[in-house]
Parts: sequence; C-alpha cells; structure tokens
Amino acid sequence: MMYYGFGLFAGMCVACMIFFNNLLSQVVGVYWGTFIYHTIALILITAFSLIYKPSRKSGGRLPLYYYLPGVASVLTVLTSSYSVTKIGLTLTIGLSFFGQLIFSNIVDHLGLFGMKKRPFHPKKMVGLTLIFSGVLAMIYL
Amino acid sequence: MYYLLPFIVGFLIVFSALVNGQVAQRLGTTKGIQTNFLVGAVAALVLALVFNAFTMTIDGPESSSMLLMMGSLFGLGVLFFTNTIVTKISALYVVLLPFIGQMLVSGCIDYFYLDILSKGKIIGALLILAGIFYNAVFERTFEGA
Repeated sequence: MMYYGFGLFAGMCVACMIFFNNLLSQVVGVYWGTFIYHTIALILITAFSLIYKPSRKSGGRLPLYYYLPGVASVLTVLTSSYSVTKIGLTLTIGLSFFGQLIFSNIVDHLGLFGMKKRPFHPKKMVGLTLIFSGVLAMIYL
Repeated sequence: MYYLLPFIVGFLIVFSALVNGQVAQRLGTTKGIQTNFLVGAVAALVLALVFNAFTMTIDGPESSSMLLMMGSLFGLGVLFFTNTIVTKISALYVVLLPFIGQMLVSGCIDYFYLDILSKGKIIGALLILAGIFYNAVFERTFEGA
C-alpha cells in the first residue's frame, strides 16, 4: 500500500518541481534557474552518496549517448519553466504526458534503444484518441 | 509554440528514462543520477553564459534561498519515488498514480496561485486519465494473453 502512495508522491513531486523551477526562473532567468537547479541537485545527490556510500560498479568507458539525458534534462527544465508562465502547469503536464505516450509507442513499435519490439496495436488508438481529446479539451474548453 | 514545447519535452523524458535505465545498470543508480546532474549543470552553465551571460538578478537572499532548494529537492524526490515504485507495483499504477498526483497538485497550483484553472482542464485531465487507463488495461490483457 505504501508504494501506491509513493506513486502519488512521485507525480506530486513532478508538479512541485516544475512549479518551483518556474518561480526560480522568474527570480534569476530561465537559463540561470536551470543551472542552479542542476547544481543544487548535484550537490544534494553527492552528499547523499557520501553518507550512504552506494556500492560502486565498474563503469568502464561509457558510450557518448549515456551523457545525453543530462542535456535532455536541461532542455526539459528550460522549456517547462518557460511554458508554465504562458499556459499554466496543468496543460504543460498534459501536453508533456501526451508527448511521452506518442514517443514511447514509437520506441516500442520500432524497438529503439535496445528495447524489445512491441508492434503498435490499432486498438490502442482508442486510448490515444481519448488522451488527445483530453489535451484538446484543456486547450479549447 | 507554447503547446509544442511541452509535447517535445515528453519525447525527451522518455528518451532520458530509457538511457538512464542503461546508465544505472552500468554505474549504479546514485552514480547515474550524479552523472545526469553533472552533465546537466555543465550544459546549463554553457547555455546561461552564451545566451544570458549578465542578466542574472536575485531579489534577495531571503526570498530566493528557499526557492533555490525546493525545485532540486522535488527533482530528487521524483527520482527516489519513481525508482522505488518501478519494481514494486504494476506498470498500470506506475503510470496512473504519478499522473493523478501531478494533476492534483498542478490543478491546485493553477487554481490557487496562477488562477487559470478552467473546467476544460479538469475535463481534459479526466479524459487523459480514461485514455491511460484504457491503454494500460488493454496492454495488460493483450500481453497476458
């Protein structure tokens, strides 16, 4: 039961994170806001790793694309902070969620990034249409 | 444009989650997160220096010190809670529960702080929820068969 609560908390944290990053951006600008967000998170996670000393795995030489999520995270924080001011938090999250669904279906269908190929089933269109209608309702109603 | 940006962010979130999963397997979760934020901090610094070099203004330490911390704390909270639940509850709830959590909080913030919560956003959120539920149940039935 506790883990279901954690699931809710995870989503609540996403909304709070975007909201506070937006506030920070209003104080120092989106670019510096994004820098401060990543730097403080880096300090916090480093402090955490010093206290708890997680088991080390030998990394070896990492492929270059392993570093891309860091860059993607910058773009995510930048654009989310920017959008919230213009279209609000609910719609920002709704649109981002729709993007996640579309891209994850493409990844599954094509078997990208080493994932198992799971062809798109036409019946999934029902769910996607519902979600798209939801996004349209958020924009136009 | 404002509508397109969060949509593209959705692509980036999925991409990051997939690659971060591989990074965590190679380096461990904590080291993976550290790498993520280190690269992010450097990339953000470069962007800030290139596009916004001398425009950083802080109203005052009292008003900003808490704000500086909160976004990062919640960011780590996301990673902590997500990593914890992924292996403990079914994929249906891994998608559904965080979405409900996001909508609850963002609805409150839009209503109380930004004052822009409309009926359309509530109806939209419910429709999205129905869509997620349908697809997740379909996937479970389809793959279980």
